Amino acid sequence: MALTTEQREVLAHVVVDPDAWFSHAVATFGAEKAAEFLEAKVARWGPDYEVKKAAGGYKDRAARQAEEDAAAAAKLAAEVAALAEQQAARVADIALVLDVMPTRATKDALARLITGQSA
Amino acid sequence: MPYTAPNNARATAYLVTAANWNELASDILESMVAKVTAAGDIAQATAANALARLAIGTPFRAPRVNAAATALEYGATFSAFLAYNSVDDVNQTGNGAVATVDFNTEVIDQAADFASDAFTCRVTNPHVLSMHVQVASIPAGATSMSFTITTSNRTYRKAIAMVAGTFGTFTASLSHLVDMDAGDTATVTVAISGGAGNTATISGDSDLRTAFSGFIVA
Repeated sequence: MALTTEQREVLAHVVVDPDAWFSHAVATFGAEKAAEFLEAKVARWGPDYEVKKAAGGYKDRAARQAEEDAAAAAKLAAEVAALAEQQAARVADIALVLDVMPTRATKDALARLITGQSA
Repeated sequence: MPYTAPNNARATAYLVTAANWNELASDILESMVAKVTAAGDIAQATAANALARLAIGTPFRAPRVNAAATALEYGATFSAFLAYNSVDDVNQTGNGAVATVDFNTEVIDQAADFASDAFTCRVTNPHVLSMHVQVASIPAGATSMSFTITTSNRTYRKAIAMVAGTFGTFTASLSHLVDMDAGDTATVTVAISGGAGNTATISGDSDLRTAFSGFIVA
C-alpha cells in the first residue's frame, strides 16, 4: 500500500520522513494495522495541517526540524564560545596574579623582617 | 426485562402456565450470573438493555470505553519497557557524529514493543520516556555534547557546552512526558563535537549506566 498525496502531506506535517514512518509501521504491525494507524494519525493531524498551511509560509516537519537543529547548534556554539571566553579571561586573571606574586625568596625575607630573625 | 403489574385477577389456586414459567426463566437467564462463564468475566448492558458477557482480558490490559462509546472493551496491553546497553560501544562520536544509542538487553518489554534500539508506540497516548547515557573516552578537545530522545512527533534535547578537556566521562539523563501516536517510534542519540575524532565510547554494563525506559500513561 502506498501513501496518497494527502496522507503524505499530513504525515509530513508531523514526522520527518513519512515514507519511513509508514514502512516501519507496516514492518512492525502488518499492513492492515499500519493502515489503521496511518488513518488515525492523518485524522488527528489533518486539521492542524490545514490551519498552518492556510496561514501562509508553511514549512513541513523536516524543514522545521532542520531549522530547530540549526538553531540548537547555533545556541550551543554560542554557549561554547562564551565558555571559552570566560575560561580565557580566568586564565588571564590567574596569570596576572601569578605575575605579581612574590617569589619564595621574597616571602622568606619578608617573614624574617616581620619575625626579626636573621637569614 | 420489564415487569408488569401483578395479575390480581388470578384466583386462588391459579394454575401457573408454561408461559408464566418461561417468563420467569427468561428473567433468570438475563441475570449476570447466567451470563458470565469464567472467573473474572463481567457483564454489561447492551443497547437493548439486556446483559452481555465481557470475557476476562489478559494481564496488563484494562477495560475502556469503545470508540463508539457504546460498550466496554479491553484495551491494548500497557506498554512498559526497560532496556540497557551491556557492552561498551567504542568510536561512536566525538567529532560531530550522531550516534544512535544501542540498547541490546531488554529487562522489561511488557507489550513487546521495543526492538532494535527503538520503542514503537501501539496506542496513541502520552508516554513517559527516560534515557540515561554514559559516554567515556571523551576526546580532549570536545566542547559540546547533545543527547536526544527522538520521537516521530518531536525531538527532546539536552545540550551541554563545556570547556575542552573538562570531562573524560559524562552521564546525562533526560526524561519527558511525550506525545506519541500509534506507529510512532522513539530512539536515543548522542553527539559530541569538537574532538579530533569520533573516538568516544558509549558505555555498556549490566549496572544500567546506559539505559532507556518508558511506559504509557494510562
